[in-house]
Amino acid sequence: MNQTQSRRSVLALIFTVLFLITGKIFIWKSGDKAPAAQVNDPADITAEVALTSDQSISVTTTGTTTTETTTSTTTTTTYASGFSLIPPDYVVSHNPDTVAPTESAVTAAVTTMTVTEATTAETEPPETEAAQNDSAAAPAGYFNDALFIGDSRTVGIASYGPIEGATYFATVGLSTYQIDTALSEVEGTLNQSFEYVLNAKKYGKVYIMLGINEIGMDFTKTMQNMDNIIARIKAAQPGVKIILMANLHVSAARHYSDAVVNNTKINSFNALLAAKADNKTIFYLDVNPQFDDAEGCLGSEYTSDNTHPYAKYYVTWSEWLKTQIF
Amino acid sequence: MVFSSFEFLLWFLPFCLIVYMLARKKAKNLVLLFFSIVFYAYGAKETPLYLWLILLSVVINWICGMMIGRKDGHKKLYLTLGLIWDFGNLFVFKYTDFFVKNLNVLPGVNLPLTHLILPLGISFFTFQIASYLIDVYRGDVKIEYNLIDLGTYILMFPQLIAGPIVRFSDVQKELHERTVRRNEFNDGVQLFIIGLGRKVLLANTLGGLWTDLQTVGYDAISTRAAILGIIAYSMQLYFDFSGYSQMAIGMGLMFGFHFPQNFNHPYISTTMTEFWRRWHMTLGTWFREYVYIPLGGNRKGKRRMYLNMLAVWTLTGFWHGADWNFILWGMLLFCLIALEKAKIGKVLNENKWLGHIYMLFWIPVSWALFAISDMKQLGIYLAKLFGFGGPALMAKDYVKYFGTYGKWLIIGLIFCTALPENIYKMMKNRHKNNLAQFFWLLETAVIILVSVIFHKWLWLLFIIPIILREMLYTRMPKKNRPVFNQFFWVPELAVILGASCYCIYMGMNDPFLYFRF
Repeated sequence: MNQTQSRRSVLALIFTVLFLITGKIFIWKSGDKAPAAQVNDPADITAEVALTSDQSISVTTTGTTTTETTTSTTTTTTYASGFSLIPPDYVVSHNPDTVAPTESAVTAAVTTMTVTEATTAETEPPETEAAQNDSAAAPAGYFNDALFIGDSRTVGIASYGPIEGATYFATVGLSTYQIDTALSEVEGTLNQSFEYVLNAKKYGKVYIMLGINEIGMDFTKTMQNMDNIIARIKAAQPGVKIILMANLHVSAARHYSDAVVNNTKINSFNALLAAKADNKTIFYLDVNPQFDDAEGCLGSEYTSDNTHPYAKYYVTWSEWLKTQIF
Repeated sequence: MVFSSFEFLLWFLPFCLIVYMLARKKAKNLVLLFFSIVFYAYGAKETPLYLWLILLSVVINWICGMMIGRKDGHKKLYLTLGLIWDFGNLFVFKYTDFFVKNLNVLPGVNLPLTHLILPLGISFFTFQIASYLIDVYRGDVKIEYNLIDLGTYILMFPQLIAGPIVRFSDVQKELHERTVRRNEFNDGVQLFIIGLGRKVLLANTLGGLWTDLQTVGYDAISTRAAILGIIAYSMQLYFDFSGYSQMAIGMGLMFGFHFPQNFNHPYISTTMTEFWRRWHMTLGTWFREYVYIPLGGNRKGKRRMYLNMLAVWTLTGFWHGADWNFILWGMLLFCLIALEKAKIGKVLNENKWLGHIYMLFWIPVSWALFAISDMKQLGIYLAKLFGFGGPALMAKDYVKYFGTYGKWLIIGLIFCTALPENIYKMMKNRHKNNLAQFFWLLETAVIILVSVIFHKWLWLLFIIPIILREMLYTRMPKKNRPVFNQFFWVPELAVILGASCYCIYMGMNDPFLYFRF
C-alpha cells in the first residue's frame, strides 16, 4: 500500500515536471501571439471590443460548398489573434516567422517603394483636399461599365455607398487565392462566381482591391496571383482599364499591436501594386490619404474595429471614387 | 488562458487532472494551488508583478484572518485593515482612471491617467477574500490556519477569473475532506463540455452580429437591425457567462468541489427581481449577505429599505465596470426592482404572459445600457432601437443579418428556456421515464430535417450512433440501464466537443466577453 502510494507520488512529480517542460515549449512557441486575456483600462474598452471584432469581415469561407456555409462562416466573429484576416485554410501554418514575406519580396517591396512614389506622383491626381474639391465628378453613366473586385471593404462600398451603375464581385474575406472558389455576396451578383461575373458583360474599367486578407502570405506568390487575375481580365475584356486600388490602412491601434496586419506590410504590398501600374491599361489608386491620420494610419474616428470604416464613410469613399476618372 | 483555448484544453487541464489524481490525499490541495498559480502566472505573463500581488494578498488575508480570531479585542481593527487592503487594490486598479477622468472635467484639475492594467480576476477574488474575512469576523466560519488551503480556496483556477463567486462557507468542508465520485466526475466532464459548447458555439457565433453592428456604426443601421442586434447581444452575454460558469462548476466536480449554481435560466423570468435571482446568483448572494443585510435590509422601515436597495444596485452596476453607463444600468435595475416591489411585481407574477412581455422589453434595453459605454453612441443606439434614429444607410440590412444569424438566434432562443436542460436530465433517468423511450425518434427526425434544410448530408451519419445506442439499450439487462444512462450523452457531447474544437481551431474564439476588466 505504502509502496504504491509513493510510486504514484513519484509519477505525479514526473508529470508535473513534464507539464512545466511542455508548457515552456508551448508558451515559448505561442509567444506574444496569445493576447493578454483582459484589456482593462476603461479607455481601452473600445480597443478591446474592436480587437475582438475585426473578424466579422475577415474569416473566409473555406470550402464554399454551399451557400449556407458561406454565410455562416463568413460572419462569425473570431479570436483577436491578429490572424483574422488570413483565410482559415492558411491559418494552420500561420506564425509570424513562416509567413513573413520572403526576402526577395521584401527587397522588391523596398526597391519598388521609391518607384511607386515616382509613379504615384505623376499618375495620380494630387490628393489634397483642395485638389479633391476641384476635381470634376464623373459624368453620369461613367460607372455603368465598371466592375469592382474586392473583399469586405468593397462589400462595404457596395452595401453602404453603392455607386450607380457599377457591378461588384466582392465577398468578405476574398483573396487572390480564392478568386475562383469564392462566390460574390453582393446584391446584383449574389452567389455568382468570378468567371461568371467577368464574362457577364462588357466592362470598360475593372477596379481591384485585394490583398489585406493575404497580407500574411508570401508576397511573391500573391503578386503572381494578381498578375494572373489581371491577365484573365485583359483576355476576357480587351481594351479594359484596370485600376489597382491600394489596400486601406488599419488604424494605429491595430498597426502597433498586430504582427501581421499592420500598415508597414500594407504599404509594402501597396507599393508592389503601384509598381504594376503602367498608366496605359493599368492604373494605381490610393484612397488612404482620405482617411489617414498624421501617422499614416486609418484615423481612429473612422472605425470601431480598426480595420473597416463605419458605414457612413463608405459613402465618403464612393463619393471620392467618383472624382477619380481614368 | 481562457478555458476555451487549446493551451487550456490540451495542455493545462489534462496535466492538472493526471497529477491531481496521482497525488496523495494530503497533497491534493498543494497540487491545485500549484496549478492555479501557473494558471494565473500564464494569464499575467505580461504583468508578472500581479502574480506577486495576488500571492501577497493571500498572505495578508491569511494573517488578518488569524488575527481576527485572536481574543485580544482587536478583531475590528484587523477586519478593517484586511478589507482596506482588498478593496483598496480593487479601487486602485479598477476605478482610479474613472475618477481621474471625471475629476479632470472640473476646471483647474488636470490629473494624469494611470492606465493601469487590471489584474486578472481581481473583481472576483476580492469578493471571495472579503467574504472569508467577514465570515471569520462574524464567527460563521472557522479560521483557516493552513496557508495552502486558504490559497487553494482563493486561487482555485476554475473560478479564479470569472466566477462563480464561491464563498468560503460553501467549500470549507470540501477544502479539507473531499472525494471525487465517479459519477460526479462524469457529470463534471459533461457540464464542462456543455459549457464549452455554449461559449464557443452559441455565444461566439451570436456575438458576430453585435460586432457587425459596431463595425457598421450604430448611426447607419435600421431599427429592425438594432432590435436583432441587441437580442443577439443579450444571448451572447448569457451563453458566454453561463457557459463559463458551467465550465467552472464542471471542473469543480472533477476535483471534488461542489460550487454553487450561478445561472438558472434567467431569461424565462417574469420580473427583474426574479431575473436577478436567476442571473449571476452568486453575486446577488454576495451583495445580499455583505451589503444589503448589514445595511439593515428591510427591517428598518420602507424608506431605509429602498435606500439600501439603491446602494446595492448602484454598487452592482459599478462592480461590472468603471464607467457611467454601468452606474446608469445599475440605477435602471434599481428603478425597475423598486417599482416591482412597490406596485407591479404582484401583477406580473400573477399574469405570467404579461411578465414575459415586460421582461422581453426590459432585458434587451438594460443590456443596451450595459453594452455601450460611450454616452453619445448609447443615445444613438437607443434612438435607433425605438425608431427615432433616422433612416438606415442600407434599407434592408436586417434581411442580411437575419439571413446570417437567424438560425442561431432561433437555436439560442431554445437554449434560453429550460427545455434542453430538462431533456438532458430526463434522458439521464431514462429508465424511470416512459416518455423518454421515444426521444431517439425525435432526435433522428431533427437530424434528418436539419441535414435536409442545410444540405449537410454528412450530418446524417450521426444517426448511426443514436441507433446503436438504442439497440444497445433495448438489449441490455435492466439492471445495467441506470449506469448506461449516465453515459447517454456521449455521442452528442462528442459532437459538441468536436465542433467547439473546430471553431477554436478556426480561430473563431473570442476572449471572455461579459467582463471587461
